[in-house]
Amino acid sequence: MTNNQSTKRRKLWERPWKYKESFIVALELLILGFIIEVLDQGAGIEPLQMPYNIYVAVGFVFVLIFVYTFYKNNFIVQWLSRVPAAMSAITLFTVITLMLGFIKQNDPEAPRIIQILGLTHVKTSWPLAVATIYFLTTLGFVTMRRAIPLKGKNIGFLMNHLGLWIVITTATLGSGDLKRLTLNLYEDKGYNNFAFDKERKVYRMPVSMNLLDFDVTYYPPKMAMVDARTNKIIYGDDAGLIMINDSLVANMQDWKIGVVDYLPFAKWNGETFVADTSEGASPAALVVAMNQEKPDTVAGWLASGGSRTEQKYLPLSPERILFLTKPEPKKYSSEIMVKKEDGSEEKILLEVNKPYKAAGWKFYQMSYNQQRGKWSELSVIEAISDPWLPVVYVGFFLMIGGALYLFWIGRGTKTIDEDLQTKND
Amino acid sequence: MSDWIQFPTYALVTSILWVLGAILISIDKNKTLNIAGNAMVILGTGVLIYFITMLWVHLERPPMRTLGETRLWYSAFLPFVGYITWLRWRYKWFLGYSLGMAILFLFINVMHPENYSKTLMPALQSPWFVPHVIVYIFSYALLAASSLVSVYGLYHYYYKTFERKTLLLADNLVYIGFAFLTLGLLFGALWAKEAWGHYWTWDPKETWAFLTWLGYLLYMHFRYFQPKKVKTPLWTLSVAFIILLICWFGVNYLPSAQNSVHVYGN
Repeated sequence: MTNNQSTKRRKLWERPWKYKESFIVALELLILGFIIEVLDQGAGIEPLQMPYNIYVAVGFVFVLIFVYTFYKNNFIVQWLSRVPAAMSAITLFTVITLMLGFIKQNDPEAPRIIQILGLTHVKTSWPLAVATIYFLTTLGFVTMRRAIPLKGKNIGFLMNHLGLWIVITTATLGSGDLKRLTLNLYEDKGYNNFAFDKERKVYRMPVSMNLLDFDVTYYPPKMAMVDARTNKIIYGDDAGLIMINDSLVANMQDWKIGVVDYLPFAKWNGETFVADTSEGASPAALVVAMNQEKPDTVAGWLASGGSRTEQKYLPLSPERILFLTKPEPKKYSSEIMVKKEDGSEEKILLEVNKPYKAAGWKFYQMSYNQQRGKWSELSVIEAISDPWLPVVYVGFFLMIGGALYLFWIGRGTKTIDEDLQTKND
Repeated sequence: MSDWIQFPTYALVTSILWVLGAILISIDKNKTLNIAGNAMVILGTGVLIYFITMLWVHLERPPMRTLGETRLWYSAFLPFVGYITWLRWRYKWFLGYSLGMAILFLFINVMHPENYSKTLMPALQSPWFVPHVIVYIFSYALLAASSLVSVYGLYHYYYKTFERKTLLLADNLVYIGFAFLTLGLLFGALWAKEAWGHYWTWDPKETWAFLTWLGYLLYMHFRYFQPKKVKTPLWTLSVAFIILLICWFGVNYLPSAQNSVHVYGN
């Protein structure tokens, strides 16, 4: 024996528990999660709904506070509120999330063993549930340990840890109360207040909606050149996709292409394209292409094609064809008359990224009849109710505060000596 | 007006300025040369930012949609990280690495020219778009830098020339990078609520972003608890960066990600 005599070797399970014990516990919890899942035939967990999730939330908070208050010095509570347990909990969470990241979810063709272990529905599986309880327990205890007594220097720590605790707890327990319903509104069909969920179960909404008008605006289509031998679009410095406008002049490979006329909505009248906004119209452009290398000029119409308009392309040479892509939607919106429970009416414009809020629901412009596009008579609205959202947001804003604190203070300007003297607690 | 056609010229000018600047700074012979070196690094970054601004004007939308566009931002942010770290910690190698990485990303963009798409799907037309992406890219730049530090540290650890200063530098980069990563994640969640109806849907990109977040969380906790250990945190930091790379590039290629709202291909 040399000079190491003072540091005698720790035995496993010697108190206080450190990394080894923590990781063994985490591994056991993972196995426990799999065992429950298998005993359950891989059925997973049905998310709790009101009021049971509230009971669980209140019960969990109560148990954490009670245990911490009365058994603070118990070695298990001590262990759970320190970094090694936290590290093992984060690792367990990471391992299960990795499975979610790699294994295709909701895949009925996955091997039976994968399904029965819950790996095709990780989000509602027992291993994740067990890991979450472990994670939230360590996070809860460490938060309390720093909160009592409350000190100013711990404010960033508390915002980060309490914020995360609130977010994970309420997002997990609240998921059972999240309702995502679909409302199909048709132009000229009057008020509708029936929505349905994924299982086609019908719900009556507290507001009814009448679709006055649905509209799509498009980006201009793009002009592109195709290699006729490979049927592939030519990309690169001298070609690519070029958005069209009525005065565009573009160089594509050996060709100089000028747009003479551009009609956002047009139909073919047998001789030429004429502006026409009726259903099934297509963008059309009259172009002139001049070869820069040899005397050769080609002119003609290009059209993206619509449900009642044929696509038109322009062969420049045996190897090169010019064409217009389909226009992509820039914006789609529904003009809707909303009738509320109290009988009052309100006219709204619903568009993507601008949901409408009423009677505890948020309404989103979701989709439309893609085949008919601009002329769709159908507007698909999504109605979402998430009563736990305000609490989740409290957690979010605490975490944003915590992140700003972390950014501002960071690790501080700690010297090497100070770093080495950090207490192991 | 600038578009991708002029990009190789801008990339070349920027790269030359950065390389010359880095050489002058590393020679460190006299004050005039040193100032000239600093000026060149700043000027090179300025040229790139000018290009991004003009591209933004040209495309009539923030150039943040495609991978190539995000690489551009990355190239612009890395020199900032390298330069500020250099001012604070005087690590010449670090400035050199940051500039080298930035040049590599410019080079990748020159090799893979992008199309000229001006279109931006309706869900991306949101005030959250720009802060979400900028915060993320800035975070990635810092965290990538911390991983460079960890690789540098591991090299010196195995050659027994490790200095503790290296871990402190890694800590500072990780703390600031992690703060931005958290903000990016939360901004994304707040935006998702407005655009897609829910703040978290375990979209593959979200799953991997969360994994990245957990990876750096492990590093920070380990460092806090066992400041004397060297090897484990350095390895953790290197592995966390691999997860970050999967999140950034790899997700687009995962079979489970075909329906991801974050895959906007070229």
